[in-house]
Amino acid sequence: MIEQSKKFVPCTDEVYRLQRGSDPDCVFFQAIAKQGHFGKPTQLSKQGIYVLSADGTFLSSINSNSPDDVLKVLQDGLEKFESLPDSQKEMVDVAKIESKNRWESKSPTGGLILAIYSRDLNEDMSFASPRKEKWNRDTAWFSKAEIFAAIPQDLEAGATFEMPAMIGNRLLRFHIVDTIKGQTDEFSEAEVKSEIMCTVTSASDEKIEFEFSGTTKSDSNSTRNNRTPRGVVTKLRGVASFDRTAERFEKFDFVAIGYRWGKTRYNGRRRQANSSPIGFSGSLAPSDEPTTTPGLIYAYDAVWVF
Amino acid sequence: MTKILVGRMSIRCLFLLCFAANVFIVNSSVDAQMPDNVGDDFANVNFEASIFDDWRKHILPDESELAWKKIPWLSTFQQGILEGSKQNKPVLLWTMNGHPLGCT
Repeated sequence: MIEQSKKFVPCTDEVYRLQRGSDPDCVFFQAIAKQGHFGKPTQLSKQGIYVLSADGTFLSSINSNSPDDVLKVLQDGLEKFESLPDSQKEMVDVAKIESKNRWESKSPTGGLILAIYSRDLNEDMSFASPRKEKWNRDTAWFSKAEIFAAIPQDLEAGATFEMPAMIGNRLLRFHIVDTIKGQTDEFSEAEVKSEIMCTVTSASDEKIEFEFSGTTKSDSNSTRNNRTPRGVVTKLRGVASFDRTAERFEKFDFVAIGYRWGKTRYNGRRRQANSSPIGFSGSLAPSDEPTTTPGLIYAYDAVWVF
Repeated sequence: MTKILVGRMSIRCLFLLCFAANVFIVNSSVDAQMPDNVGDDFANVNFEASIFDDWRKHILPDESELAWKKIPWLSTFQQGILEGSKQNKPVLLWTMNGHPLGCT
């Protein structure tokens, strides 16, 4: 697949906006998707893999986890592309693919951006056991102003303080959630509770370092939208280093392990609504990776996003 | 009029049947309340600071799980079209519910 991909320009995108939006690039995609594997109007989701030329000529498509099937579709698309006249291989009107509204433009420059990975854990809750194969990733956003307001000032080594609610609640409501097998719904503020204490391990005019540990619980009895009662409980700990001069985190690592239960409409737990172990690991997002948005950004508790 | 009433009745009955079936299936196939054992199991979870790195390593994806990063995915459809035009190559678009590079 990696070798084959060199014959293409590979790109990714979030399908919800593309299939429903009115920006030019969305309309451009919708015209292509109509000709693809989910082209029927009754098929709302248009997710999958598409091969097209830059002028918008549909070539091939599929939605499959099978590498062999995907490779066949890529080959088919490549052969069709090679038979196209040059005039159909270029985008001459850039206005046709303009993006006016993208969440990525709200990425909090100078704030705290965490890359968070989640994984199903073994029943024996042992890190020494073979890893389960299902995992996912997410991104958490905190603006610089939010972080500066949340971190207590004038702290000395040995001091303790509760994890700021703004940080804890956002993590619990939108990120310590069960998206390992599919998209899910957020928890409301009333549905999350944490007891996480932070202990300052060193402090200077320039920097404050602290450790934190505690428990989290998120649970909801809502059965709206094909949900069952659901929840996540974890034991969480981490370490952080905050640069007081630059007003930014240099380090923010956390791990949370515990259990999840219940299901939401699309989170893939229809046959696995009973409890099972789950784990999360977060740290500063690498600066050399593309900007990615929180999975539940449309419901985010941050006015600066909207 | 009779036909309309019967039709409406049928639709209503069908709706109620579907609703009942949905409730039955959901309630009979899953035990979605926080299971009693979770409290006990959770209380027994050992998460001392000394095993923080072990758990971290266990949860984070390894190199083989990140093989998809070896493909230089552009992060928007728009970028893909512009580059496809520039490089005279077909565009391979992977689009999912939840951005494939960031989240689900």
